[in-house]
Amino acid sequence: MSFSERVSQLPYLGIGVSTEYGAVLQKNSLDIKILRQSHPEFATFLEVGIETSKGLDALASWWSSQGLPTTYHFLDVNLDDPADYCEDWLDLVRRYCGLLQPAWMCGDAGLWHFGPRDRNHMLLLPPVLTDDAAKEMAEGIIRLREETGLEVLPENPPGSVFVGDLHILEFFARLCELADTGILLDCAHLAIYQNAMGYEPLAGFDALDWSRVIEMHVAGSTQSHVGDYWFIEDDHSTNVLPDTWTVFENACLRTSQLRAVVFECERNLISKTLPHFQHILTTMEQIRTGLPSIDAMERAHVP
Amino acid sequence: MSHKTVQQIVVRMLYDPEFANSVYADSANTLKVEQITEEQRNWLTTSDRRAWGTDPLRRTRSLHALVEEYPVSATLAAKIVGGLPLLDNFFSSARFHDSVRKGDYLVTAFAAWLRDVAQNTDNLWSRSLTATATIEEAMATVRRAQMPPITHSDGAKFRLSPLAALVDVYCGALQLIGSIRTTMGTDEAVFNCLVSNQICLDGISPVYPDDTQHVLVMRTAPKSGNITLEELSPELAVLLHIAKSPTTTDILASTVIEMGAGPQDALEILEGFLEDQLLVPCG
Repeated sequence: MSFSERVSQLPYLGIGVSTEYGAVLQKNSLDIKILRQSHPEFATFLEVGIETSKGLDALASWWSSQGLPTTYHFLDVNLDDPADYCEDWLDLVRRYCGLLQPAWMCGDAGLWHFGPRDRNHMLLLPPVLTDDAAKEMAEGIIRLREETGLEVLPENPPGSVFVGDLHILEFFARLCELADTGILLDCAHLAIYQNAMGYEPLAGFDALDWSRVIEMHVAGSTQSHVGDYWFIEDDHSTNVLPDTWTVFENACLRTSQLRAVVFECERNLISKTLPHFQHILTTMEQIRTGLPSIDAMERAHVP
Repeated sequence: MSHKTVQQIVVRMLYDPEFANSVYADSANTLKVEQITEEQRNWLTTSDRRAWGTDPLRRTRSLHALVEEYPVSATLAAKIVGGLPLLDNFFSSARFHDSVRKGDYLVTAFAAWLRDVAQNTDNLWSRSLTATATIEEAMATVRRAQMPPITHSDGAKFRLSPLAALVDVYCGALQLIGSIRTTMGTDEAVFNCLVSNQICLDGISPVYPDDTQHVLVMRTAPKSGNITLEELSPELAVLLHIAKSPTTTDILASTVIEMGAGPQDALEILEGFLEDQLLVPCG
């Protein structure tokens, strides 16, 4: 069955929040249980970031024990590395999937570790943006989908340096076509990429098959500098850059199968996150209740 | 596969600014041994050079993780070279670059680099560093070891468990490790001492290079992170050295008997090793 047929089986999750092991214990972390109580529409599902060597923390365990919706966000697999699909790792993945019953798997399609999967080797780098890299990564996505029985949605990673001959949206278009899968579009990561490469926020938009966009991420970023070099840091603050909103709003207009949006804000007080959740909700509701045509939008942004 | 080579070079450039400078200055020469195309080389220098340095704490974080696994050796190395910042040079070393290129464990490369530091310095603590790096490398190895499924069959061979390692080091190394761990405290305390360059080894004795100590490093259970260190008698060390390769019980029993045990005692000793999972069947 092709993805265009399988996609109908994916549930609509709405707006969710993300976490990873121990995140709730950090100072000023988002109180997800309170958010769920006070604004359930902003915490309809939990995206659980999982490094198999760490497992699930108390919040993720509690959430899954309530039977609430989740997605499984991997943090420890290089999709293009056959050695990463060892039985020990797959056993743990299946175990956590059994506990969480996620709607799908997703995660940054990049380099989570160099050399062997080891605690001293963990990082996150974007892939080399080439057709060869997309082919090998696609094989891994297909394998993981077959091993878990879940859709595996690659996410465009952040980075400060990007190498290769493809625009990152061209790369992900190719990857999703080869793996016949959907995509998790991280709007903040894309804004960072466009800025780092000197492109306009919507550059490369026409490369993507937008019917494959199933999930999106929105997050705050900060202009930082090292010496006299300025760059955008993906720090999940509540400072959502205008370019990120531009990407999100225009992406929403093009999607036809969007199922979920995560506002990544795990280290912020609820009060500071609410306006952003509301903006996401408003934008999504506009889509669900009748889209303005894309021609009616300000195409001036689109190069 | 060459995109994976490019990815490895990216990692090396992110960790090592001198290497990145060299790639920017002359990529053809710097990367002449790499199996990548001219086009791929050019990709590496397309970005603003400064974009490679947006995470200035990358090396510090990685060094912190390595020091957690080599607290004693890092202490001695910092004492020898004059402080923690010089340990940071590991990430500019050939050991580091070779490790990334070959896809090896960094912990293994770090041990080799520490022994290089010891070998290239003439210091009271140099030989001690050689010894402790070897023991802590064995600890890092058994910490990562996977226990294969145990199969039993008649006439099976046995071998030293993957959860165990036997190393021969300078005499006194085990006591030195105990003394420094006691003095320095927790892993976090060790790192803080190294950062502040407050390394006090008063009252601690270095190793005695004229004699050898046989040390058994063992993880207590497959799911456990607990590792024990034990000094072995020379006889037992000989036996376990033999068992590093798959060996029949006959050969192992003969070895024990040659050391003076009776046949029944020899079997009981081997049964004890099997029960403790120091020896495991290997087909």
